[in-house]
Amino acid sequence: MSQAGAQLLERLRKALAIEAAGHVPAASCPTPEAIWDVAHQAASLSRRRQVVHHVIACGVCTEAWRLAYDLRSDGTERRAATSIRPVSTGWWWGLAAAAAAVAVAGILLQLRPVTADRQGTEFRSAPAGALSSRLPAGATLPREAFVLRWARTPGAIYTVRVATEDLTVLAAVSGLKATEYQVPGAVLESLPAGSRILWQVEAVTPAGHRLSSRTFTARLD
Amino acid sequence: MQRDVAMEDRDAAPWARPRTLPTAGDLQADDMERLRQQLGRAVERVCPRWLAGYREDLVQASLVKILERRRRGEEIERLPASYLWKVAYSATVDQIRRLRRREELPMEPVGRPSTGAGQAPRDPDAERERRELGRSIRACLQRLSQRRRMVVGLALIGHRAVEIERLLGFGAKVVDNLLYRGLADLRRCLVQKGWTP
Repeated sequence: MSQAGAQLLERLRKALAIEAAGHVPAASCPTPEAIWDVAHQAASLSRRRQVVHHVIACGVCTEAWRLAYDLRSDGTERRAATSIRPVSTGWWWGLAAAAAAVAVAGILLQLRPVTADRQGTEFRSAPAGALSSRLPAGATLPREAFVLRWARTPGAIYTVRVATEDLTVLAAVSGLKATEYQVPGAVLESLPAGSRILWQVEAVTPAGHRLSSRTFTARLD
Repeated sequence: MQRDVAMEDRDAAPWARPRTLPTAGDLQADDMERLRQQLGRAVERVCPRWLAGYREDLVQASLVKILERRRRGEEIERLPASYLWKVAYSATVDQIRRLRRREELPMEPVGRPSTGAGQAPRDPDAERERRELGRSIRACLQRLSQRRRMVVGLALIGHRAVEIERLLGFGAKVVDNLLYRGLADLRRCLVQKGWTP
């Protein structure tokens, strides 16, 4: 994952947090004790779902929820309440299923507002279809020849981003004209066999259209 | 039993209301001081940095809550330490809600100190854009089916799949599926709202 991707992940989280800051408490807000009990697994399943349902829609209760959850006493405390939540994108990628992680990446790596300086109308009129991988699904590649390949878009210049599942950036290269990129063996050295590598390619056509692939995965042999 | 927040006193801090507080004779001075110190540590841990100016008030509010329990006949000496944290948390959230109602809260997420000296000035345009994106996300979440909304919402708050499974009582595959489909729905919705590649 590129730095740009990580920044976008952070941006989405910040967007929700900033939007939440404008919320005011509602009569329907659960009590702090109720939120605490749910965050600490001290409530029934139906109650947990009820409270969660409210929390995700209510910025004020989202704050309360984070405070409560971060103070869990079962050893899963994730941060001190008095510190800024670190810019951690690991959770996006730790969503257990690669498919889900891919979906997240697909959303977040590509989301940008339509603005005049980004030629939004051109975005909208960009050729349909996304860049596809030329690697077989679930491909396992040797670390000395970890070559990523994708479908050609005539005249396009490509940017490739490669990351581990925990969002450690392995490579981010732009200006490629070829439809393949070999990940340097050196950056793969420390990874165990079987590691899942995430990659995404973006193409800019001669007309300035920008096409992004979804995020693909390949395994390290 | 759930309290109705709307029924709470929205103006006065709870510890400012007239109360019959325990007298010095109710608790040994040493016990009281020890309790206050324990609550002070709990509040220090719970209280976001930007709320630091209210810490003493929060300790006092927490103390009042606990002493009320004692007044009802409960033996506070036997309260588990986790209860002190819960009380400190409750007092903190009450204070946050109170400030929000008065619109006195800095526009910052939990845990983030308000902008002060030495910090880079905000970019109003960027902030407005983020807020717009946040609104779009929030609106799009409301369009999702309830199960997808809960899973995606928790993921957006920062929860990992395993935590979502535990919280909602769904199996791993169900969470994966709901997340995958929910995110796809979210993306479609955001694109419809003008957030586009």
